[in-house]
Amino acid sequence: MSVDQIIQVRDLTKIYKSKKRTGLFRSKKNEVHALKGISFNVDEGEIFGLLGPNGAGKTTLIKILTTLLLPSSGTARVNGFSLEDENGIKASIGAMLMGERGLYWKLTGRENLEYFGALYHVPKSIRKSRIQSLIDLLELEKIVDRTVETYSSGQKMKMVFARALINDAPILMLDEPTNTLDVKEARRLRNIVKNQNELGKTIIYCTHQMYEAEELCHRVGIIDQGQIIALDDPHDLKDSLEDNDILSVEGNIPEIARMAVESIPGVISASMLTKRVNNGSSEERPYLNIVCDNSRTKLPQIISVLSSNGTIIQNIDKKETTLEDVFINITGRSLMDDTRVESSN
Amino acid sequence: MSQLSLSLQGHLGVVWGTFIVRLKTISRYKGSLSMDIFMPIMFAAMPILLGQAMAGSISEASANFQANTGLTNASYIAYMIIGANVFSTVTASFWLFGFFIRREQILGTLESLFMTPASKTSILAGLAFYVEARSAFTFVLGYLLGCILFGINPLQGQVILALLILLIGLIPIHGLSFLMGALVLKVKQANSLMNSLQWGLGIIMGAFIPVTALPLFIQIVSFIFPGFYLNYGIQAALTGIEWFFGNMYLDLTVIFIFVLICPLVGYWVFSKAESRIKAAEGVGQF
Repeated sequence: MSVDQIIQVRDLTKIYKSKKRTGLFRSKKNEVHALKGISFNVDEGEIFGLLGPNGAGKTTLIKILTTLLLPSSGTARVNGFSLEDENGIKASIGAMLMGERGLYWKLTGRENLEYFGALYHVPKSIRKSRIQSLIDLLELEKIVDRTVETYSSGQKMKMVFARALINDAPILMLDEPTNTLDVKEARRLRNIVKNQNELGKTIIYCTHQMYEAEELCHRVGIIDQGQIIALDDPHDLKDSLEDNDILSVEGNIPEIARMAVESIPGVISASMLTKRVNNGSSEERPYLNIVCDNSRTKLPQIISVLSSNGTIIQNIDKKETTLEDVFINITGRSLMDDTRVESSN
Repeated sequence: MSQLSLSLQGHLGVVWGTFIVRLKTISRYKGSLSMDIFMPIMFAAMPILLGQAMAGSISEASANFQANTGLTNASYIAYMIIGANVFSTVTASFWLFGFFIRREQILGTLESLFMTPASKTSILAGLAFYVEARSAFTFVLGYLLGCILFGINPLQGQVILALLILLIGLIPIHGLSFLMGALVLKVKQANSLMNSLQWGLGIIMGAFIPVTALPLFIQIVSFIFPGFYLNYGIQAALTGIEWFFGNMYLDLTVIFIFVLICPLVGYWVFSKAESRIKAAEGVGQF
């Protein structure tokens, strides 16, 4: 094994067996293939992003790497320990899963940190000073002596993040750590993640927010329907699309118009996607995402085809290439889509 | 990288940490502790008052009880009060790990716990110490209060010996609670199952009626359940009924054998169940 590769994953599969309800008392056996032969390495000291829509298999992968789940097949080594050596792995990682859950609500934040410090066998002599440094780092002073039940969602997330750091492990596994944080707090947390990486920690960062992966990660594995469909430096992933232009068309766009645009020579793809309205709400707006070889020369024809097919155009933008475009280019879907992994009977 | 010491001191830290966390949590649910004291009194009051109503007086009821159960020295009221208190502590201990697992699943803390290198045995030991302390506290207060309410002398018999039997006899029950932990991991509707089963426990441990007065198949189940010897031992120490094997040391030996066997069997079953659940959908799902 290479010393630099702190995590090695080989052909990991996970099949959930469940029952599919077909009536009041009837059910059929059902298999959900959550991971389909995933392989990758994580180098020591890197921030490795796992980017994918909800239901892609990110959390299943993290749960296997944290020994909470056993894979159906395949192997993995974390910090030199195989998945069978649970205690070696558990002592090597600090993890943040399940969002704001995972804290004792009737205890104060400080009591939670003290207890988890004990569970991680952090010696009592250094536990108090470490807790204080985490309180300072995450600016928890005002809330740390209140019971967790009185915290806001964002405060709970910060406390869960502090818990992940309590054992000062060499590897951090963070599953959607900025969910429920406001923009300012999310940015602060990402800065802390960067600092932790600069201090030498290897970080696996799961997200479905492409800008987080672009901002933080040295390498990104794009995961979809249980498979890693692309893996590279974020810039290189985007460079793979640089030869093409991406247009975003908003408005009332019939399906026939989308198909007509897709048939224009030089248009590589035209997909109806949704994006979140940029006003802080959860409202989503549909748009037509067009990938073409030269938008400058194609634009008049695209507008003409759209208009002649009943489209009322409200806005047209030429987009900067993002990791989401890489995802769209490969899958034809947006990262905002909830893509539960396929099941078979 | 931190230097994590998986030393004895570390394991003791987990035991102590778990004990303190439980104490702090219960201190924030004050009503719950009072209920632990009053519930056994209410459990005991039902058969005591019913027996009195049926027989016409307490002394008549007591005579009927002795005649029908063969426990010639038994104080009817003391038997019920002790039985109710032991039943209460045994059921709390028996479901200890099962309730713990389910509560942690609901809170979302179970996966956080399972991600730490803390051994399940250390966590259970911390929980068990907490339950022992809580049981001793509620047993003494519940028994005292029950005796005062029903007008009998609480200091009859060997009180210290009874307390010792309680604390030692709960150890195999804690061991068996691993089985309940396994059951909760496996069975989704564990709460209703637990509620139904706990009354069965009351019967097989002879909480309100000596098992010798029950059908043979129930007696056989009772004789392999350590809660039966725990209850019988405390009854013998406090009410003066004859020891089950005719000799205190023989009764205590049987309890000690359960102390050695039950935790091992319970832990083995739980580990198997945990592995199966990890291979399926994971420990956090219910």
